Amino acid sequence: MLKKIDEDTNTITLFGHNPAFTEMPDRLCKSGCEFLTKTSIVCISFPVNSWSEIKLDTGKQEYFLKPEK
Amino acid sequence: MSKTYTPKEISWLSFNERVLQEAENKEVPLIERFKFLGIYSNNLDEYFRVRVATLKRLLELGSKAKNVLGYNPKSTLKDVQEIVLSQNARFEKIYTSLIRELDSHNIHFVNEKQLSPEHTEFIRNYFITEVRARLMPYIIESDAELPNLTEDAIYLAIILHKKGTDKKRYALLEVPTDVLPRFIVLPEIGDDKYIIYLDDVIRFGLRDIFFIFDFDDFSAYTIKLTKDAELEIADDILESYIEKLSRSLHQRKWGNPVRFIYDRKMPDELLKMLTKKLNFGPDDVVIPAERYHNLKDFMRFPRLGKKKFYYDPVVAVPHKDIQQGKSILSAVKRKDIMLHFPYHSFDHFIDLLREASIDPYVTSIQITLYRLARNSSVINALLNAARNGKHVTTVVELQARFDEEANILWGNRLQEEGVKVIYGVPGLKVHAKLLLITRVKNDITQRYSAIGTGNFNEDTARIYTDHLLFTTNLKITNEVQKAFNFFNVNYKKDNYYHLVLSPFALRNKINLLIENEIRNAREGKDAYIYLKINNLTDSEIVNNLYEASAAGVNIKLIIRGMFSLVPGMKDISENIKAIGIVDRFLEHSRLMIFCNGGNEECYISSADLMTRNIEHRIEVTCPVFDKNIRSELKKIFNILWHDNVKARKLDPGLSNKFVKPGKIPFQAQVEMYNFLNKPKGKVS
Repeated sequence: MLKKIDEDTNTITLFGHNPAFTEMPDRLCKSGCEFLTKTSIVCISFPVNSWSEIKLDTGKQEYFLKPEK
Repeated sequence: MSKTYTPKEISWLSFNERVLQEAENKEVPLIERFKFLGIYSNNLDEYFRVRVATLKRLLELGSKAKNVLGYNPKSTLKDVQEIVLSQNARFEKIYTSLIRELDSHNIHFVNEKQLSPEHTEFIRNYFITEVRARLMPYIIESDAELPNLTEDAIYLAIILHKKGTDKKRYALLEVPTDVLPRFIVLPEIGDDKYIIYLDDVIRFGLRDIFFIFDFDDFSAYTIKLTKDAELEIADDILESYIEKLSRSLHQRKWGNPVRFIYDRKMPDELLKMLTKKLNFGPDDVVIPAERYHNLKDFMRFPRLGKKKFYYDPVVAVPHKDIQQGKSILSAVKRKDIMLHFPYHSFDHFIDLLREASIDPYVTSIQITLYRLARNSSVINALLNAARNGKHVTTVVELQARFDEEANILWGNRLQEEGVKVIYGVPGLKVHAKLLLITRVKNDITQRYSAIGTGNFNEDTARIYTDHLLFTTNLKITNEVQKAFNFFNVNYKKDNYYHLVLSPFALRNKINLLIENEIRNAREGKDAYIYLKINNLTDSEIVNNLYEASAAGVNIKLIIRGMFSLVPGMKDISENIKAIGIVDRFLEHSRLMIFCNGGNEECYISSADLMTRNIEHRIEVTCPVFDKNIRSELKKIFNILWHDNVKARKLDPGLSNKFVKPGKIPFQAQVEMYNFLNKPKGKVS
């Protein structure tokens, strides 16, 4: 799905559920990703020119936010 | 026997022959050679309780057995009997020569008839104060059954006789080696040291035990019975078969005798009576032997004699990235750390647990426990963590072979202190070695994981070679958390992208890794597979390795024990070379390296490539992501591969020939120590 995104788009936001929403950033980021608790946000950047070049383990985790207790 | 598949029972005996070779080897220190005899003997006991017992159960299936097993259990059992008899003859020869050698160093074994007056007095006292109260004789009546003989114990079968008459009775007496030492060191006389077997101390006191009868002539012969342990059957055979055939399999009850060993000097009348009472038939393994049995007790040979009779003590090396008195959790956070036992100290692991148990930010500790040390520091650290308010979860495997009782005791102890104890996963033995520490500071969760190839056991970590990875890599720690979630709730089978779990994914993963090498070889790319494991018997994996060899993949195997693959066969396995190393430390680490077109993949694993580990156990195989550690592991594989002192070629004839000695001796276990003991910074 990511690979097919329109090239004019620079940023996309995905909403969804676990376990996919922990597993996906974990697989995309080189460093893996912490468990996404409810309403957590993770931002990932890729050093690519085209969405089609995105590969597993190449993303960089820019920030990880989760709600305060 | 199939030319392309060696039955695991046969290749196992070949492994035990390598152990015997060490006992035979004059380069090995004298008392250590006795210990190798002890290991051989101990191994063989377990072999009969498990492997031979399984074969005997399968015999009950008649002609169907071959379909289940892939080879004929009847002819395999016959081969087993032949090999064991010939190995035992060699064992006895070695034993006699070692006793002679001890003699030449003024250390003498004496029996009850060779005692000096001084020793007679000593033994009389010892018998009265230590031994007599432990003895419970049983009189054998001709029309009664024998009592239930203790598995693995040795008994004296005794003939009580009145001289000058036909009056005779028979008795059985267990030699209480569970509560008394098997070898008793007698007072020195001049420069000479003396040892006596507990059996002979009992022989000395027979008259005293049977004083109520009117007998004056006593003779005692050792016997030993090995029973079916009924533990391995489900591990070895496809479950569907088990269900189908369970009735006939279960007809053979637990505890049926599988081997009977007796002193070959035992009179026929007594032997016939015993084998009849034990229901031994022509298919059963009845082995005549020497006067003393259960020589596994040599593993606990008393410490006496010169330093040169023992291996030099090994002082474990501290890991270069762990500093005494500094936080291990912080060190692991900085970078992955791989420990290699027994060269590295197991104290690092205990220190890690201790630190976690008192770190105010650590919230939980989760660990799998399979075999524990006698006075386990691991348990103590976990109890301490629970007392300090940490949530401690242990997954205790109750079916750890021969350790069931101890594990129940530990389990109860842990529960009393508030530790959550999960007794395994129904139907699957938990053999994975996992630890997960969770630390929460300023709302940030940090997980630390330890993943190993061997048990969290400080006793075996001194004599088994194993790898243990400490990591905070999220890709790994997240999945270790998933594994513990699965232990908690058995229907939660998450997806795993990095860790490879048996029984869910290991077979498929290994097949894919081999296929990848085959594809690369066919495309003319570099392709190799290096495996260092304990046992390789799974027929599908064996066949896939044959296919890889035929495609031109270079395959190097370092296998300690059972090995069903036959290397070096033209057009089938000519690109496969295999060695086995038996030395002072038990080779136990499991390491797999795949070329992957130049982008090497490296795994450590708790699993052997046996059907039981792949299909009937929870095992964890873990990729090594850290580049430096990968390179270190490759170097370690190469060190082991180049051994020319303790490595034996594993060949089709199971000849156990040593690899050709080089000009310079290269002993892998010594080199491993040197490699890891290099000054800081030079290892990787």
